[in-house]
Amino acid sequence: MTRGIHLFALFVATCWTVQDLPAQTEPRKGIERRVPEVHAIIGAAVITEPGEIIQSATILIEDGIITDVGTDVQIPAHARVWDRSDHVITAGFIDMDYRVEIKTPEENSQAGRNWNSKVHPEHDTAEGFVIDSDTASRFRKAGFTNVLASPEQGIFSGSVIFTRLIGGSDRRALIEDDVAISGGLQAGRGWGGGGYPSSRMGAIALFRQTLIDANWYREAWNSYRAHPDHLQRPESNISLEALFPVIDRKVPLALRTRDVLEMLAIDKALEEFQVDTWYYGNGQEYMWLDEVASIGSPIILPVNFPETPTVDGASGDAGVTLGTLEKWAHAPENPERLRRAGVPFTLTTRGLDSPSSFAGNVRNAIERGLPSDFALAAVTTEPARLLGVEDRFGRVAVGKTAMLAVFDGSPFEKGKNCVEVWIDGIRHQNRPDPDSDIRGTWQLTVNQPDKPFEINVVLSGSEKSPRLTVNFNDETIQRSRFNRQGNEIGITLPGEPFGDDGFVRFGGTIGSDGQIRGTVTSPSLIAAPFVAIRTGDVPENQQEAATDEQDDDAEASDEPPRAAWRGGGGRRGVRPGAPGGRGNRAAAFSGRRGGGGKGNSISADKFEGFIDREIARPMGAFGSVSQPFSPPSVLITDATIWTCGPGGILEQADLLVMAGKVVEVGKNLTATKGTHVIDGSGLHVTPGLIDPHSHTAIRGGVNEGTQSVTAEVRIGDSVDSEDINIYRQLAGGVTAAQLLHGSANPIGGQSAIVKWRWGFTPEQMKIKNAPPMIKFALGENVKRSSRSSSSGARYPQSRMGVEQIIRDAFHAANQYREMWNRWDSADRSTMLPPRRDLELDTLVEILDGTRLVHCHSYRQDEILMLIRVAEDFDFTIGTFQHILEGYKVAPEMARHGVSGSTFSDWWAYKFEVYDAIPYNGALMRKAGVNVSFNSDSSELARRLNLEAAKAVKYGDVPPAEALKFVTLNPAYQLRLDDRIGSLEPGKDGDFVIWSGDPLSGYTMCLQTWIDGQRFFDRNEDRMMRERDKERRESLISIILDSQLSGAREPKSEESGEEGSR
Amino acid sequence: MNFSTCNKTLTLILMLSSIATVTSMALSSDPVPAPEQSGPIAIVGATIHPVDRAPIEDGIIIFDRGQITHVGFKIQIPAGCEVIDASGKHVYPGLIASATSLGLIEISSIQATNDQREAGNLNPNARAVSSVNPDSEHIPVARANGIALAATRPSGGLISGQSALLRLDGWSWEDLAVTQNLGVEIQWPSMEGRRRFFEDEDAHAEGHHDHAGTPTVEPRAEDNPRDASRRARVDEIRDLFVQAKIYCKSRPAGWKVSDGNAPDLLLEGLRAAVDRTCPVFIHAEGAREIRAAVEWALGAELRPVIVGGRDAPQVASFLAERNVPVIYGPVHRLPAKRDAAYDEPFTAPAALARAGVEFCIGSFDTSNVRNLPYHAATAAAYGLGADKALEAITLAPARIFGVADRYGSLTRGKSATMIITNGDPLEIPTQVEAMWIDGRRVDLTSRHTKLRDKYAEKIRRQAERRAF
Repeated sequence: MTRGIHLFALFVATCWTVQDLPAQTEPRKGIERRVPEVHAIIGAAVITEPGEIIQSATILIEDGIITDVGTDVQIPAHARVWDRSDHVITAGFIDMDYRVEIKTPEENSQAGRNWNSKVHPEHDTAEGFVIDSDTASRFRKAGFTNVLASPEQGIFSGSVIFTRLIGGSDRRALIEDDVAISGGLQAGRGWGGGGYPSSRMGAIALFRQTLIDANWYREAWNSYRAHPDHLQRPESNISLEALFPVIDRKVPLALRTRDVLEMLAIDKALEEFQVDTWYYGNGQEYMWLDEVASIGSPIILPVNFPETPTVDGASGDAGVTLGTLEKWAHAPENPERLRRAGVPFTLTTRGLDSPSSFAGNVRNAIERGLPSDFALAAVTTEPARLLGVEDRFGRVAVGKTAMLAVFDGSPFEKGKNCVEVWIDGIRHQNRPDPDSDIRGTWQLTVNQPDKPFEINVVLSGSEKSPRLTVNFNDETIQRSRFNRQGNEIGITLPGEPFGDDGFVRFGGTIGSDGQIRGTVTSPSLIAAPFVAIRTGDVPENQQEAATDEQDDDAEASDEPPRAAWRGGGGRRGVRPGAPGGRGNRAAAFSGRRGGGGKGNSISADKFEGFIDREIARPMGAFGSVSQPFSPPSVLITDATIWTCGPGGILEQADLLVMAGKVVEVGKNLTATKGTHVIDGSGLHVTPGLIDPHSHTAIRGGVNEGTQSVTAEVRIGDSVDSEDINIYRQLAGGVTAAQLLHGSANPIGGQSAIVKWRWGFTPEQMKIKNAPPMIKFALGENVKRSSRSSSSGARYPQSRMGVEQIIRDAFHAANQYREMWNRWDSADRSTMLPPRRDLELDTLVEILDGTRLVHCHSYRQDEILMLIRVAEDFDFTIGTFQHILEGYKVAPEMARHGVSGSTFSDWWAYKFEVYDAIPYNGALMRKAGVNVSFNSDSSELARRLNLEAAKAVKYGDVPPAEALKFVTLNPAYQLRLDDRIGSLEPGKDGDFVIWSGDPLSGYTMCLQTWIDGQRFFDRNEDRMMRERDKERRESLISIILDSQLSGAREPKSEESGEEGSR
Repeated sequence: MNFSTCNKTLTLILMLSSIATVTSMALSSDPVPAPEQSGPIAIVGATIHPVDRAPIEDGIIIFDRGQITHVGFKIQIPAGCEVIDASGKHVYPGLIASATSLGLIEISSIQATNDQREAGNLNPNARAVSSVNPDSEHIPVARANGIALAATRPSGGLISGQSALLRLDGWSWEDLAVTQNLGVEIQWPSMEGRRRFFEDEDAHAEGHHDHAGTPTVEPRAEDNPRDASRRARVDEIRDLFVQAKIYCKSRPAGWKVSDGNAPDLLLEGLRAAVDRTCPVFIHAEGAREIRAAVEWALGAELRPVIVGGRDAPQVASFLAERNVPVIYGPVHRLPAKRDAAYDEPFTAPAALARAGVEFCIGSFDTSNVRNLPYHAATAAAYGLGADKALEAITLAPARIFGVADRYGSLTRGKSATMIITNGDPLEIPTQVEAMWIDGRRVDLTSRHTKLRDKYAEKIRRQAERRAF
């Protein structure tokens, strides 16, 4: 296509008949127009591409194609000439993220399509595609000529199409279909109702499986086609087929994201696949900028910057978080921060109430550092490049399709509008031609034969609706009215001053000579003619309170004009005081900053330097702006050290940690140079506490409870490194946790094993090479959760069914394993390639003993049941979670070799825990079971050390052993006891410094270290509180300063619709 | 524990009864209520912690007919007095739990076992006391860790009902009741909209303890409920009290059913509050709610007590100035707001103490009321200090409940309600070894100890079998 373009352009230049709009199939109505469409737009400053500007240029358009641009253009005689002096012309804007609602696919249309109603990549967005005329018109008013449309819903949603904004159901709106396939992590309701998946992690699991399925589907069909006689025909599935262009990397996947972590999670999930991606951004990319940059995909950025938070006493501004304030303050920097990081992006109107707020918000971003050329590129050349249509779109140049946006100033400039766009050489006017300005003083003469009279009329105030003042015989007439419709004007006056009874009504037309002629009627006059002649400008003393627009000019004149356009700023060919009365306003660039949408009513200089500030990770209070304190080595001296290893509790001992590992625990250790030495006298040191059952820091749902078996789901896909509870748990001495799937179904999802590395990304929080784990669940939850399902009762409904579900799943896994074994040695002509099933893969890992089961359980019957099931399938359960009746079957547990992770003393919150007793931990331990205590709660996790103390209270477990319930024992349950859980040489330098005995309620956690890095320090915490208080107050001051300094609320200038969200 | 008692029969009976519990599990696990004190008892050798004054080492405390007759050291022990040697042990007043639903909730997820919530918004006449199940398994469990008295509260709606103060041993609810109408429970409408809730507060707030089918949809930012509806709810409370005031004036107390002329039960339910013979317990968490609730209650000439009081430290001087007590808690909770200091709930009691606010600490729990002293311990660690923390679960609640003349400290003339421990009750490993309520020696076994004993036997036998 690219190669053909020059020829094409030449061809166009010499031939009438080529239309960019393809011929339509619809029968013509009426008489066909055959006059060639040739237009010459003259006088405007043309930005041919960002950074390139031609003053007073002419653009020649012939049949929808630009055939010439420049200052020296021959205008053909048959061209229609459009004088666009005082205007700026750019390529029409392209919005890459316009979403269309797609109806839920019909139930009976599932035939031949994917089983899951959220997976419809085959959906053809072009089919039935309509942008209603109003919407199209709103886009055009903001300078847009094209949008990329994609379905709003689904995990694989359908094709992304490139369209013209011509509105209505015009069949020619489509330019390209199948530009990309769109998708997103759609969970829960929406397309396809509330079925699987219902969680973010479930959505990722299905996303992953679908790509695997697409690869398999092609392989299977290739195999079948090669050996149709021997092989069974695979299923037909047009949904999977529709993904072939994606896996062939012919088109990208365009993926919706709601937050940055989701973007990172999708990127991570795509690691195993070779596909190209675009991301529909979320506005938070700057928060995890380095990670976003390393993805390397282009991002389609929204500019719906947050509204100014409400800060006042009555509504309790204490409720506005620092994070909210910082997002408000920094969000407009998002595009510039991405630019600096080298991330390619385009800008979209998505998320705005209306495209009319787009310019204001982009201006906001420009004021906060984004070069205006980049802003313009982000809606012209960049989209064209990404779409691979640079040959036709994105620039004002010979051979390009005539997609133009004409502004009465610079694009994105305050108070300037797009007056018209050209789409394929067809002009779309954005507003009617303006009425002439009739403000001034007028002499109105009524030519009544017998008694002609004159009155003086002053029209002052705003241009659109001037104020009328009428003087007659040196007296001002009260109760006068002026109205106007186009060139028709009317004046109504009381008759009294003229010696008339009722009212005197003038009606006239503004003539081409500028005079107004018409007739006047009153009770005593019948259509007496009058003429009004303009005698001058409004006298100074009658000029009224300035309007917004005039005010802008006034302010602009105070400051030297700033260059809004590199290479073009201030030199634009606009002639001040041009005829038509509008020239005044277009005279100069507004030097005024700020005043965009509601989101940014505050002058940008208040944010001076913000762009260079480090963004705290995560954003908001207690976020870290620097790496944690990590001395090369740490030595704690003279402390009471609970090793949780064979050393037991050592009094007045030292702990040396170097390069993140424990080097030695003992007496009189010496510090090398550069060692950070902590005087531990009077203090206690323990290993970092480990919470083997946590649901902290999981975003988008803890359960994928829509199916009985969801082993394919991974908590690791939705770890939320921004959860403040991470920091709070560090303050309670917790360093590591198992993030478990919930207990809604018998076989839940895979665990994430993390260290609480606050300020790091989800991936960085995960413990490398941690053995894989999975959650199972038994009992009431599994039964109960199915009942709330709207789509009828989900199996199982009883403990009986739970057993059968689990057995059935393992039988399926066995078969699956055998099938793959067969495949390894099979003659390829006799067997279709097996489909890789992520759920069964996971179950096979359990059977192989490489993945450990953590099973939510309460009653002794179900505990024993699962032990027997595991024994039947020849594997060992890793750990029973909760296991509140473990004390009843502790000997059986010990014989099976399963651990128990229990609550210290919770009971009676439901029937199956009525027999829970706080002695459970001690009794299981006595029977030889490895026992841990866990939190299952972000609150309880803050004091696991005190939970351990309950093992001393209830069952006389010795203190050193009790502490192991939250250190070494959970480490063993995670099969990480060779790395964490005790302070022994070679183990990770995860430790906690306590103000006293860790089992005492009077003790505070003072410091928490992970891998020799300090992640919590009570003193530092105090400093952060002050730091945050300062940051908070300074942002609130910016808001209130502008609100209380008498600054009026900014009025929106663009169709009154400007403002984000 | 080495009790040397003059009454060997009693020891024998105690021994027998403990054997009986091990062998006959078919019996209810709820222990038999204790008999009245039959003669004077002297506890000697222990460190006595009277709470209202400094601890007495190697002290003596003597009580008879349910009342403390002597506290001190080197006191002459009257003849015929049972002497308990508690050398090395500690004696404390029985702990008072100020925020529970004991006896009203058995298994929280099973509605059939719950009686703390009546239908509708206005239930000032609903009495917790007469719905208390004296055989609730929760009562002995709480008692086993030193809780002697507990306020049990109805909940829900705007006016939830009348709470009661219970002693945790007795045959019937009438036996249990220390104060039948402790006060009227009011749930002050929150001024925080849902949207703010989701922004500030934890999307993963704890609560249900095992993530069964938790909502898997993302937290939605919902619209703020209109301020008007909150005001309407405040007005509902306000109006009922205005009506009650008029009603109580025009219809004096002391009417009888036989008088005919049926009363308005709702307004009757507010009589004690309106007459200021009982307080109103207003559950309020935010600073604005607390201020608004207090201003309303004082204006209506009521006796407000703030319950919950998350943000009470922010309005501490206001509360001190207005003489409004606070039942603070739980201490073991997450900060409600995302930006709050991690230890905000831990330091709150210290802040109230510094400002001179009258307060006590509650655990706001029913099945684990036994953890009340650990809430106090955390407050102690974070600035309150051990003495004030102990007071916050003994004498302080007794004062707020108007029973400080009888309970809350080991003082001559007060009820003999006390515990013997082997250490500081605020420390988790400490064991409560004996308890008296009103001079009655209560049983410290519970469903939990009985199940423990039963299955410890199984483990013992299995170990034995393996040994052979």
